[in-house]
Amino acid sequence: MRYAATTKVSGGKLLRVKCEVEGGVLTAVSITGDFFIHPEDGIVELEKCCVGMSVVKEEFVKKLHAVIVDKKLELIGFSTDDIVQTLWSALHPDSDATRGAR
Amino acid sequence: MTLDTISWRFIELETHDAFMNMALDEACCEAVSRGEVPPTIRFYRWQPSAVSIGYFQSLQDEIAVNECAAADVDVVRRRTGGGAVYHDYEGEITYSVIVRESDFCLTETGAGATPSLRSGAGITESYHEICGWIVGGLARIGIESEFKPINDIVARVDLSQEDSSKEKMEGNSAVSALWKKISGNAQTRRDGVILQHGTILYRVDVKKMFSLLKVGKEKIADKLIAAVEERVTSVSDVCAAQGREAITREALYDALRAGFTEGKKFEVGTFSEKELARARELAVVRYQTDAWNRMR
Repeated sequence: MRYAATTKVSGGKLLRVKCEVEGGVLTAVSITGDFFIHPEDGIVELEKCCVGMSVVKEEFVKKLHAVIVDKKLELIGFSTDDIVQTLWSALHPDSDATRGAR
Repeated sequence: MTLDTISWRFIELETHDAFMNMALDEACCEAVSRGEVPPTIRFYRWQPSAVSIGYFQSLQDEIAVNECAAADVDVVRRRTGGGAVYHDYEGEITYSVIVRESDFCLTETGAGATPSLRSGAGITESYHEICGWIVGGLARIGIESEFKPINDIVARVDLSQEDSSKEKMEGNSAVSALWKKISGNAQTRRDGVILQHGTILYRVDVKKMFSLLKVGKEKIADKLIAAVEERVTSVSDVCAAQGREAITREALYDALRAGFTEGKKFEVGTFSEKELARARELAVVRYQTDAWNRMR
């Protein structure tokens, strides 16, 4: 199944997350938008680290934080929480917790 | 060394197509990184007019590719993040600043009596510094502006008597002017080199811009065009709001040139043969390719 969601971060940038899920596991994730990441190649690491994860919010947060620290990434115009929130919003389009994020 | 004491190369306003413009930035970054050429300030225009997208954007999601082709508008992905920009040949001036991170030292004057030097300015600080050169340039032609984080410059647009009354009716009693975006900027740091480029809007055609960007049909409504016009301005619009004749693009360039070079050691120069050859290569192997432009 394919999912997608878009968030306009308050005071920040636009974030689009698209993903594919098979058997409760993320098989592909794409994060696009008008934000900044330094260094830029870090986007590939962020997307890659999501693949193979089961759809558990806490797991996303932990893994994304680990990549940001490990690769010394600087996110400008959005945060890890915004990625997780948008991903969550894509996966749970009708959830009260995510309504308004799209 | 500080930004004021290093020797800059200044490359006067040139016109290239989108692919060559982005390739020249990258070739120059490589040459600056290797220490083959001085830190560089360049100004340029885009012919044919073009749309550039940010490094992290999806071309498919953001750009009306068929409309761009029909309008003879090139599309290119930048090495920098940020949003999609329509670079109208007549409507803007673009600049790039290319400097080694180790040379980008800001002088801190703060509370202490003795200024100190600090290497490797943070990203927001360096935006602020370079955008300050644009603010200084615009001030020379009577346009008040300021840096607005994350990466914009906003200019003061005086309200007409009619608009001012409208604002007052809406409860904004003290409003006699609005601050609108006049410049967007983007930065990357690779191989120890900072590249910051950005545009200064001379004249804006919001309808044309929207015809080239992929926005939902509901967003093309007049209401949204009006909303963008409320948020974005240009040198011509500011002059009109001030009740004076629009200055020429040449006068804008002269003012920006002065703003960027004020207080700096610089020599007017050109790209080296090596940079030009590398740029021609990069234009073909990277910036003109689908592999690059459609990579996201």
